[in-house]
Amino acid sequence: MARLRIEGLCKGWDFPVIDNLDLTVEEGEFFVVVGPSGIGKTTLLRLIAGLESADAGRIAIGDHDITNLPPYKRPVAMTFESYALYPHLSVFENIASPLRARRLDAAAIRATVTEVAKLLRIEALLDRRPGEISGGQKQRTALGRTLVAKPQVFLLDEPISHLDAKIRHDLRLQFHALEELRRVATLYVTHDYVEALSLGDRIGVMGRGGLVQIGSARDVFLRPRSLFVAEHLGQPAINAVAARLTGEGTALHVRAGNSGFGFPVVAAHAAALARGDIQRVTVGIRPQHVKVLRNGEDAPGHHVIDGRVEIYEALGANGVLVADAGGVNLTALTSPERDFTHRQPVRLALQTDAVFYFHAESGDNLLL
Amino acid sequence: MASIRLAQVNKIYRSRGHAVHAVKDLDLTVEDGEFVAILGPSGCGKTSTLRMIVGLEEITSGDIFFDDRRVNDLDPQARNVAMAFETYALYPSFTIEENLSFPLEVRGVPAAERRKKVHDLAALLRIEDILGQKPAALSGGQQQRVSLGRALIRDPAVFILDEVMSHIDAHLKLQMLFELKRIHQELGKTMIYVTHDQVEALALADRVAVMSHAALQQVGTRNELYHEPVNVFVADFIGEPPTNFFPAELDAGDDQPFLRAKNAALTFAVPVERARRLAAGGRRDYVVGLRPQNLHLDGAESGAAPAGGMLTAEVAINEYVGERTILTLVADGHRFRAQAHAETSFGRGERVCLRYASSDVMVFDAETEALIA
Ligand SMILES: Nc1ncnc2c1ncn2[C@@H]1O[C@H](COP(=O)(O)OP(=O)(O)OP(=O)(O)O)[C@@H](O)[C@H]1O
Ligand SMILES: [Mg+2]
Repeated sequence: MARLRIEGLCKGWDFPVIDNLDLTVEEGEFFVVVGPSGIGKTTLLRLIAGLESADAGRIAIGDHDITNLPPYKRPVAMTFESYALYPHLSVFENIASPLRARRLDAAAIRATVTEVAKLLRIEALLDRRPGEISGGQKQRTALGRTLVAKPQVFLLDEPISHLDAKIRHDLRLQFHALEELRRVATLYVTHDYVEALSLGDRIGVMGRGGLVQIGSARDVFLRPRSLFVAEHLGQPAINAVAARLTGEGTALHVRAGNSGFGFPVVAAHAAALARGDIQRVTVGIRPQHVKVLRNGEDAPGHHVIDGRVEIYEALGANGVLVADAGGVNLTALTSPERDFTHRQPVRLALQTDAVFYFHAESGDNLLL
Repeated sequence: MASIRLAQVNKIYRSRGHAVHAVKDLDLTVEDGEFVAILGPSGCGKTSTLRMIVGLEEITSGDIFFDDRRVNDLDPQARNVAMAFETYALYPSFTIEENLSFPLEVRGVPAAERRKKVHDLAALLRIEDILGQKPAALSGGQQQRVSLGRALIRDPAVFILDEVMSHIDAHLKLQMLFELKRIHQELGKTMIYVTHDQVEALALADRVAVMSHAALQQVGTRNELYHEPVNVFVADFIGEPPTNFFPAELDAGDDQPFLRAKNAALTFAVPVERARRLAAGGRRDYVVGLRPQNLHLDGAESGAAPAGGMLTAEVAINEYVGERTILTLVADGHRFRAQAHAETSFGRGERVCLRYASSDVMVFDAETEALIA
């Protein structure tokens, strides 16, 4: 019944933020839009909520064209990045406000607010006002107010960006299970790719003008349509190395840097690349595909190159190492239990069958 | 240059009849030139702490010293602290150079000196080539660096940053963190960085101060916090996904004591020495902590398996997040997580076996929640 349907949506003429965007989010579907800050994710939600007017295109929920409806008549509930809480109302009343509008009785309101506050772990703050709570607590209050509404479409704009890893993990699981969210169409905006991959039934990666790729988590991570998509999913970010493809004997090789960075292209990739007769590429190597070998360790099926450590940091659950490898800076993911010193020589094993090749100018994935 | 010392600092907000104890008996020293991060969950008192250091919030009780000078009664200007927020207001109609130069101009610094200072700082921040541009033309990362520049240009003795990276895109973040660390190393200024993001804190700081519920829990390096968390809270908060906990009690065993989860058939092997010590300590309730990274899917890791144990569980959620897969599992009523290879793909309800090394089992006192070494 209530799917969200967007057709030919445009916003901004000279510098279109949204340029002819088509998107359908099914009833019960959780669709996540991920993309860099400032790219227009919030604008998209505001257009759907009616807080900004479209320059062209139409928006429908179920059978109803809502393109020209004022915001308050649209059956949507939205969280705002700026929270937009009522400063003179308590946290309880802020969360309750959509329920009051629906004229629920007092007991039902109390029960609903208490339940959502518990879920978001702000039940102890219900008597306070927005001016008396912290940044992350405000964010959860805003999310609570949205979740108690009974809309046909949820529009969630970075609803947990100000929270720590632990509670985000827990809330992600809650989102997976939350009936309210799973019953209707939800459009969820984030700049955090982990959140996007984890939550999205489908994920739309937003670039200039609109969604540059739509697919499942595995689609967008394993088969990025472009360098842009690959660069925006993954932390540390994928290594993007400007390189030449050279025929050496019968084999194809990657060459880059000024002191001999290179590796042979695996046969399956070489076949795909040969079709295009391409010389200049951007090679994409994910940090988890660069293995920092231990003394005496070898890595069958990998290409091993020498490098020197530039930066090493042990973080919470893994270590990040940046090495100079033949004139190219390569980032590798390691175990956090290792120790490296600046300029220490290391051997790096590249998993060359997991490398991406992008067109040097367009950034298109040449293997697709 | 300055060291900072907080001695028994408290912050209590009072309004409309209720009192909120936002910072409780906080003792913390930041050495001259040191980079310390204050890390903790939402609402634990990080911003309140910073605001007291800067002088924007009254100190309810306790003292703050810069070097040996008590600054409680000094106003913010007199403290010579610069604070950068996530969104630093830049003047949109001025160039970056003018934006950076402005705070100096206000103080009557002569033009030639202003120019030199701005250019030196721009070199440090690597923004020389955008000095002539207007703020609107900059990327997020560039704006961030200019914002840092705005705070640094006044040459403060202490430099404070509150959640400045939370809106930086993930793919730029690490690089910017490393950059900020380099800037700190070159400047040698005392810096305090507040965040809820452990990656930021661990990437930047010499030491991390972990707060929870208004109180300091532990100050330490990454290894100290990760391997010797003083209590359940720190073990849970540092590391990602969060640590799994199981309420447990000691079982004397036939040949060697081990821990058994309460009301469940789950057992945990602990190293012999530790088991003996636990047994000698008298009957107590415990909490077992096991990190998701230390639970290995059976067959995933070949090679010599260290002494340890095994758990069998049912998969509840298979969460693919790109570089890895996070499994949410259920065993005998207990819910916990394990981290697995990206290619892992289980359906709901499938049974899996997980191995762990007994040396990775953390044991806490159930009552005090303190780590039992
Ligand atoms: N003006 C105020 N009046 C009453 N209570 C307040 C006030 N400001 C903050 N608090 C409370 O004090 C505690 C600490 O708040 P603080 O802003 O220091 O947290 P924080 O660690 O910075 O959190 P976040 O990560 O969410 O920004 C919270 O419980 C908050 O609700
Ligand atoms: Mg704060």
